Amino acid sequence: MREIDIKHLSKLANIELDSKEEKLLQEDLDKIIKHIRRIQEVEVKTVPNTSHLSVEKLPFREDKKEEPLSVKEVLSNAQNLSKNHFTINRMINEDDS
Amino acid sequence: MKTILEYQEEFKKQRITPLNLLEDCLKNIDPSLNAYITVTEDLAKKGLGKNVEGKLKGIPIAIKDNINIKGIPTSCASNVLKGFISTFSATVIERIEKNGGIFIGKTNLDEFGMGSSTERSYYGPTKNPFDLTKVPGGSSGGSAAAVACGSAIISLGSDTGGSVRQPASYCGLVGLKPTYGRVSRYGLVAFGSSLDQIGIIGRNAEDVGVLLEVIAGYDPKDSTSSEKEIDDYSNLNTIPKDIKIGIPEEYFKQIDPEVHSSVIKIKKTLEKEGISFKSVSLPTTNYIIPTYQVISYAEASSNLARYDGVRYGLRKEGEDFHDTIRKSRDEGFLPEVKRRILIGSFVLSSEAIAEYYERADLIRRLITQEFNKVLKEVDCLLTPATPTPAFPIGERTDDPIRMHVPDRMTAGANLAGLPAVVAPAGMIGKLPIGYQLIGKPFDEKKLLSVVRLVEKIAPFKGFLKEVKDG
Repeated sequence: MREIDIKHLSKLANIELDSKEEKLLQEDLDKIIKHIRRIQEVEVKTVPNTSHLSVEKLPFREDKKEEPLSVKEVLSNAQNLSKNHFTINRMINEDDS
Repeated sequence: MKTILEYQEEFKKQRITPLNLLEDCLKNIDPSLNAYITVTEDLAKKGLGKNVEGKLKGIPIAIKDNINIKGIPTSCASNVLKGFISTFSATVIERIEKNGGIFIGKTNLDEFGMGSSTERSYYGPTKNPFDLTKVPGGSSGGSAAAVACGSAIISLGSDTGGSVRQPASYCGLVGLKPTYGRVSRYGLVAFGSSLDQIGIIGRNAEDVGVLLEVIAGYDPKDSTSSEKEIDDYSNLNTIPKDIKIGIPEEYFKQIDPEVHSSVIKIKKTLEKEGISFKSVSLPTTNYIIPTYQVISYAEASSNLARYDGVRYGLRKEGEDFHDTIRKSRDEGFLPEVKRRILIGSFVLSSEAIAEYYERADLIRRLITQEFNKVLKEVDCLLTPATPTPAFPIGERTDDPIRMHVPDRMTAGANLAGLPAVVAPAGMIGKLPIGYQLIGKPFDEKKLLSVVRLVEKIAPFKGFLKEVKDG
């Protein structure tokens, strides 16, 4: 069975896990992967890929201008703002230059 | 038990006012059930004040808290969206408003729709109105409990693997998952985008048809919505006699014997009305759950990447940008959502994608082909809605595999994009149990007509609480 590398996955998924959580989730994930590995039993060599569920042609919308949300509305749910901007941690420090 | 159309008549004759009906529904909200995350009494009264004429005039509707209503919190039952106020309304919400419907509240769910019991909510579990020690089903458990206890006439949920139908079964109600593309998903918070559909939970087929007429149809804001004309879904008086229903043998294995006999009773009832039945086989049924898990977890891991604490939602400051995102997501999500994001990241990772995600995608195609082949021989399929009645609260919370068991009956319709409806088949002890009909694409009216026929000849008597007449 494939080994789940929980540390690697938590990086991929951008979720910090403490060691207790890591241990619990490792056990759960091993169980789940063992369960879903059953799909390996199915013969799929001749099956074409699913591109879209719908059998009919999907329509294009009319290409017309619509009123977007205002800046105030877009920013209304953010916790950290600076004037009309979202704020994140500084990514490039003076030392990096 | 009045239908939506009967309420409209009562309003016209001024025997009941919409305000009376709303007040009765508000009185029926039972805090011990924990069906609602937010009760929107002011919004409902404001809606009544607008006096909009339409098919849903004055009808109190409960909305699953993963569907946006402008100016109202949308939490998805997650700490990660605590305090989030919607800046726009979903298309379904706008269509209901244009038809005079009013919103009584936002209902509880498993966080982001990920669960089958409504126990995995940041706001605590919802309880089954028929037995407070049992789950109401999930993930639209709040929407089902809200209707079953008479606090809403009808509700909206969302169905990714059975999340409308399974709670409808556990709460003695009619639950419809429309064909993929029949109802716009714009404004529904995404979980598994190729599987999600907004669905309806009501007390009878006609009510579900009335609401479907309002919310169905093309929406330029959802590129997967269909331009196909909608039907008159509430006109269910033509008795569907000349139809043939398939019985897929795989769906009748490993189920509670009483569930088995309840569904067979429905078959016999329909046979007496001249409907014919045929045994059919869907051999890939055993692979529905793992295929559904791989695809839905993969899509969830991608969809939930947006919760980074920057533009909205919970933010926990870390040492640097990435640390802030990781800490925010750790504190924001409950364990089940983390499990699904992690597995989703795994099955999409370069070392595993061919073995898992791409393979599941091909099996999905096989499952769809099988359904389509069988549905050429019959008009629809009759199956149990769930393998058992509602299970005890706490029984499966620590078992991520067992929690998926009820999905075996329902997730196939999501993988194949087919419409499916669940309706009451009877009671096992004091708990209701449902049957399911799976139909051809866009055949919602036929499914609802069969349910209507069963309602006429063998009416379900297990409804818990009637909304008073004002």
